[in-house]
Amino acid sequence: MTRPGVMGARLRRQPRPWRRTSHGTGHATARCHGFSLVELIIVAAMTAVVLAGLGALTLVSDVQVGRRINSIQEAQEQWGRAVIFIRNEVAEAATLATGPLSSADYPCNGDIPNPVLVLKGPDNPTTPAWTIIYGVRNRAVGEEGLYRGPKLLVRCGPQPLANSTSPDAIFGHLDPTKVALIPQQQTVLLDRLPANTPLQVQLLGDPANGPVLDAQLTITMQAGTDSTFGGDQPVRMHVQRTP
Amino acid sequence: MILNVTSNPVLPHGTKTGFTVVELLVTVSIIGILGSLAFRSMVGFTEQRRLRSAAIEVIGMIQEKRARVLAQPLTESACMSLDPADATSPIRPANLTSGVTGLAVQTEAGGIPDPLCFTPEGLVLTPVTLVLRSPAVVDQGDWCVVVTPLLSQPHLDWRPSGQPGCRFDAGGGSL
Repeated sequence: MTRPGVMGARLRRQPRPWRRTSHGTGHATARCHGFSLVELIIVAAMTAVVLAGLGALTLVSDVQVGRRINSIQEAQEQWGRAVIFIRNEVAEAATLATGPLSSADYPCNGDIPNPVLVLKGPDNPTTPAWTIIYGVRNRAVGEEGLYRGPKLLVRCGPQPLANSTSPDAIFGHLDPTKVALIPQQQTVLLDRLPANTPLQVQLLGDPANGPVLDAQLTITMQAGTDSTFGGDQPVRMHVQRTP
Repeated sequence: MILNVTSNPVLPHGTKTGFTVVELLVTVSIIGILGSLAFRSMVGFTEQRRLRSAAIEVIGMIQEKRARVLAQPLTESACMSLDPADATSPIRPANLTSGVTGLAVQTEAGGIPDPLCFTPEGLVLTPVTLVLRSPAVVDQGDWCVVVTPLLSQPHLDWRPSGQPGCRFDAGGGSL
C-alpha cells in the first residue's frame, strides 16, 4: 500500500502535460508558464502573412494564366479572320505577284511594306481594275499602345462602302458598286508580328508562263504581347485563285 | 484596470500579469485598420474584375451581332446600338450578368457611343472604342473594348485613371 502523504508529494512534483517547463525535469522549483498572448498574436500574424502571401501569389498566377489564354485565343481568332479575308480576295484576283515595291507602285500613304503579295483584278474584265497589296511594315512611332508586336500586316486597297447592304456576303466587298476604289487606304489587319521574317511570300508558278494563281504565305504571329509570353506561331497558308 | 489573463502559481501571491485595456484596444485597433485596408483593397479588386467581366460580355455581344449579320444579311439590322440607355441596345446594364454597380459605357471623350455597324461581309469600317467605367474603381482606371477595322476583331484595352486614351500595354490596373 502506498502512503497517502507520499503519493500526494509525488503528484505535486509531476509537471502538467500542457505546461512548458524551462528544463523539462518537472521539479517543483521550475518556473512553469504557457504561451503568452503576445507570442500567440505574433505567431498568428506571421501565419496570416504567409497565408495571405501564398493566396496572393496563387491569385496573381491564376489571373496571368487567364490573360495568357485569352491573348492566345484572341490571336488565333484574329489570325483566322485574316486568313478568310485574304483567301476571299485572292479568289477574286486575276493574277498574283510579289517583289519589292517602289513608291510609285504603292498607292497608299505610310511606309511601303516589304515583302508584299500583290493581287490584281478583277477576274471579270467588265469591271474596273483594282490592286490590293498585302505586306508587312514596321510599327511606327506613336503606335506602341495601339498595336502589339514590332511588325504589322497591312492591306492597301479599296475600302468597302459604308452603305453596302448587298446580301452577297463575303465576296461583295470587291464589287465596284460597293467599294471605293479611290482613294485606296492602308489598313492594319494583324499586329503581334515578330521582328524576324513575319511574312514570307512564295509564288507557285512562273509569271513568264502566264498569270500566277497560287501562292504560299507563311505568317508568324506572337500569341502574347511579347515573344516571351506565348512564343511565336508560324502558320503557312496556301492561297489560290478560284479556277 | 488590469485584466488577469494568466494565473501563474509560481509567482508570489498577489502578483498579476496580463494586458491592460489600452494594450488590447491598440491591438484591436491595429487589426481593425489593417482589416479595413485589406477589405477596401479586396472590394476594389472584385469590382475591377466585375468591370473586366462586363467588358468581355460586351465583346461577346459584338461577336454575336457580327455572326447574325453574316448569317442573315437581309433581315438582320447591320447596326447595334452601344448606348446603354437605349432600350434596343444589347449592352444595357440589365443584360449584363457581371453585376457592376453604376456601370457607364461611353466613348473615350465621354460621349454617347455611335452605333456599331457591320457590312454584309462582317467588316467594320471605322474603329470603335468603348470605355466601361465603374464609380467604385474610377480612381484606378477603365476597361476599354476596341473594335478595329476591317476584320472587326474586338479586344480589351486599359485606360489608367487620368490618361486620355486606351492602350493595350497599360497593364490592366492591378490585374
